[in-house]
This record gives sequence, C-alpha cells and structure tokens, in this order.
Amino acid sequence: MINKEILKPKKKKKGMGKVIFRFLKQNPLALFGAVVILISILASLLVPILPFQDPLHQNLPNRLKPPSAEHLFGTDNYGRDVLSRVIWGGRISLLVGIFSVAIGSLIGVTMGVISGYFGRVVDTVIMRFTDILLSFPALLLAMAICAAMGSSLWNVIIAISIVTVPRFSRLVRGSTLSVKEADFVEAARALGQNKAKIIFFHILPNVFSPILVLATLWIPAAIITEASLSFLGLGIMPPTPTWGNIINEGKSYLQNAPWISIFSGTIIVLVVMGFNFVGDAVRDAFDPRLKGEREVGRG
Amino acid sequence: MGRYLLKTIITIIPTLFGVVTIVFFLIHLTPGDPALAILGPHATADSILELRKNLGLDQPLHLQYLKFLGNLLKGDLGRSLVTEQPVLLETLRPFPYTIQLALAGVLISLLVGIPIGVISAIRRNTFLDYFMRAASISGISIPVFFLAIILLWIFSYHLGWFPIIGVGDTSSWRSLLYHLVLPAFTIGISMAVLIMRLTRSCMLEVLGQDYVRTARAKGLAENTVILVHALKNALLPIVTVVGLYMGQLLGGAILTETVFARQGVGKLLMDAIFSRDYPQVQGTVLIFASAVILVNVIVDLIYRFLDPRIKL
Repeated sequence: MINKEILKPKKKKKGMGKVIFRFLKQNPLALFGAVVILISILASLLVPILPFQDPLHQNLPNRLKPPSAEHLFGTDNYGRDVLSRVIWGGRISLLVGIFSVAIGSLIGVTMGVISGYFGRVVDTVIMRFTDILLSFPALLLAMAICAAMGSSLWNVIIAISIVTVPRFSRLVRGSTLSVKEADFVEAARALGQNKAKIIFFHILPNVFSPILVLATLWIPAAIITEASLSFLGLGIMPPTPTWGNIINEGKSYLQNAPWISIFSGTIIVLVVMGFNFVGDAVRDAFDPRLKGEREVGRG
Repeated sequence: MGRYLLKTIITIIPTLFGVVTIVFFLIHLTPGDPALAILGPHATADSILELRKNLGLDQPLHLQYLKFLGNLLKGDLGRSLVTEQPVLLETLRPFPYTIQLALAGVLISLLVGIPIGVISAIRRNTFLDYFMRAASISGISIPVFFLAIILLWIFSYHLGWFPIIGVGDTSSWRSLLYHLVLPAFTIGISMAVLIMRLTRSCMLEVLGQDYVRTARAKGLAENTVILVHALKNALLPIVTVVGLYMGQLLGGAILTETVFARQGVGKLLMDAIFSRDYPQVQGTVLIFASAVILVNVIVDLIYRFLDPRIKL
C-alpha cells in the first residue's frame, strides 16, 4: 500500500514571518516576552512625539508627589515626572543593551572564527586573551573600564562590549572547530575556494544559531549591567535619565517616595524578563546544548 | 595530586600576569592626567609636577610598568592616595565583611535552591514545577541592586525588622549577624534561582540513569533513591557552577554593599573610584580578580576530589 501522503507535492517553504508566528504561538511565555520587547522598543522610539512630559522639566512645588492621574508613576525629588523619565531612560538602556551586544558579538565572532579556523599560534594568542578577559567578573571589568575612561554613553557601550567579546569568541571558536571538519568544508577547500569565502559562506552560516541564542540571552544581561553601572554612579550621569540612575536617585527617598525606585525597577524587571523569555525559547528551539550559558553578567 | 597542582599553578600564572597587565594599562592609559584629576582644576603647575614625581608618573610608561611588576612580586601594591596606607592593607581590612556576605549568600542559595530544584525535578511538569520555573526565570530578571532595594524597602522601612545600613557593632557577633541577614538574602536569592534551575536539570538527567532504575528495582525507599543515589551525583556539576558564579557573586557583593552601605571591599572600591585614588582602585581590582581566579582553581580541585572518575 502506498502512503498517499508521500505522493502529495511538498508544501512551499514557509516564510520567515510565518515561522516566527508559529514559534510564538507555541511558546506563550515567548509571546509575552515578544510583546513586552515590542512595546518597550516602540515606546523608546516614539517617546519624542508622544504626549509625555519633559523628563528634565523640574517643578519643585510638585516634588515627591505620589502616583496620580497626572503623574502615573508619581514625581521625583525635583518634581519631574517619573513615568516620562523611565520611558526616556529606556531609550538609553535599550540602546546600550542592543548596541553593546551588537558590537561585542561582531568582534567576538570575528575573533572566534579566526581562532577556530586558523588554529596554531593565532588560536593560542586569541584564546589566552579570551581567558584573561573571562577571569574578570563581568561587572568589575565594566566598572574598571568606566572608572578609567570616564562616564559617557559611548564609554558605557565600549565597556559592556568588551565584557561581551570573550563570551562570543569562546563560543564561536568551539562551533567553528566542529564545522571546520565537516565534509562540505573539505569539499569547498578541495574545489579551491579561498579562505574568506569558506569562512563567510560555509562556516559562518553554520555557527549562526548558537550566536543568535547567546545574543538574545546577552541583551538582557547587558541591560542589567548598564543599569548596575549607572546605579553605582559609573554609567551615564544624571540629569540624563537611565533606568539605573533613576533607581539610584530614588534610593534616597525610599522611605517617603518609594514609587521612584520601585516603579522604575519593576519596568527593568519586566523588559529584562521579556528578553529572557524570548531568549530561553529561542535557545530551546535552536540549541539545547547551550543550557549552561546562563552565567550571564547579572552584576 | 602534586603534579596536577603544579600544572594548575603553571597555567594560572600567565592568566594572573595578563590580568595584572590589563589592569595596569587600563588605569595608566586613562585620558587626562591623574595628578590633575587628583588635585583638581585649581592646582598649581608646581604641585602637579611634584605629585607626578611622587606617583612615578614622570617616567616612561614601560619603566612604570616594570617597576609596578617588581613591586608586585614583593607584595607591594603601592600606597593609597587618600589614607597613605599600603593598598594591600587597606584592601584586606574590609575583606572579612565581604567574605561573610559571600559565604552567607552562597549558603542561603544552596539551602533554598537545591531543595526547590529537587522537588521541581521529581514533580516534573506539574503545576508546582511550572510555578517554580516561572519564579526562577523572573528571579533571573531582577537586577541584584533592585532586589536589595525591595528587601530594604519591605523589611527595613515598612516592617522595621532589620537595620538599614552598616555591618553592625563589630565586637558583637549578634549584631554582625543581624546586619548580615538582608544583604545575605539579597545575594542568596539572586543565586538560588540559578542553582534551582541547575539542580533541576542535573536531577532530571541523573534520574534517567540506569543505576537509579536499579536502585528502585531492588526496592529501596524512594527517599533513599532520590537523596542518596540521585542527588549525590547531581551535586557534582552544582559544585562547579557555584565556582563559575563566583565572579558574579562578587559583582553582586559590590552592588549589595553599596545599597546597604556595608564597609566591604566593594564599598572600598567605589569610594576609591570616586576619590580618584588610582593605586587603591588598581589594587582592589587586582585582588578581586585574583581572588576569583583562585576560587575557581579551588573549586576545580574540590570537583576532582569529589569525582572519583577524574584522577588527579
């Protein structure tokens, strides 16, 4: 008896949008995470045209007012609207999180591929360097860099990128080593393709999924690291709001105006949770081996 | 054992050397003149020159580096610019408070994380398991400093159960312990969520092994199977991971100490950074990083000791 299923024409390859939609439908937590991420990114992009109050506008008679219809998250010690500060702060926190992981992963992936593909002395040098960077606690290294270079948006991004680099180079080196030995790479080499082509067209596409997984898990880590730095007063300085420095400023008023710290902290937790939910689901879908990679820099 | 130790020591020397080099150049390649930064914008040219000479900043960078390495080998990390005491001494003084905090934190995280992880694994895919897993992923998403603030807000400000700041009266262990509770729980909870996830997955792996089935087949009580046969073997990777989290733990300690104003090494580092006490910053970062490397070596040793399959 012939299985009729086999005779049916193959279904067309699904589009990227459909794949993502199905993936989210199967993972309610990831769906929740994706919605939170989407809202936070939209809010940070659109905040200049949304009807929020100026996050720097001081109104001293109105200081430390509890949440009300006018100020949903209350006001801080200068009478500034906390909600508006949190959203403007999210602009910076998300920017730092996404940018530093983008830069750090780009450098880390390059180092890892070179190290894994060429081996020998190059490998030894790059991996020694990676080991040394990894032996610093993530937050400590970022703190030292910020303390040395001074506080600015770019320095914070550079500091977190440097912390991110060794995580990616170690991971990509390992994946490259295993892909390098595969038959199709051997075949490409036998056909006389040059090294750059082999790396770009044969190796990189095959180490892409662990990179994607690590990146989705490192963005929330980078967001937390940025928040920790500005909480300690080493990151971006007030009056420019970031999630960390809003909490730090609110800390002094915990007794009579807890909403400043508690509300802004809750927003960090929500957004980071969103990224973590998506990251976890992506990891389970792509690469269950990465389960140990949760030692992300939570401070 | 001896050979293994020797090999470990030989491999950590280049790492330590690398750490020293990175920290040195990080501090010394900073844009701007440290002497100017220390003395402020109103300093006279003479006083800046003198301070530069005192700090050895007038020499070429490579000579400064060699001198720094030479002094380091003698255990001399320089003198603090603020207290004028040796940096090593200044750093070791608050060390006990940080170690107390770290140890208490680890203890709490193990006491909370392992049992919950085990229960979650046994009751796999029940409501309890889902709840615990959701709680752990939420826990992972809470920044340590925010957790500290929440605990401080609830238990100190609202309920008034615990003191707000400081390490307490150093002459009385009761007071020390009392001041340790909230900071230790901050670190403990933030690590417990990781340990719980890890315990759960290790237990699930072990529970699927043949020897667990054998133990059940020969009629052992379920508790014995789980506690003696399964958990004992699942503990091995947990030991390693606790070691891997050491760096994170110390990072958490810096943040926790800042929130609770505990006079630990983290607070020392923050104070040094803000008072631009460069030798002290350099020394503290070095000691911190070396401590993490050493702890990792020790954990590796314990792991090898616990796992009879690995010969030393």
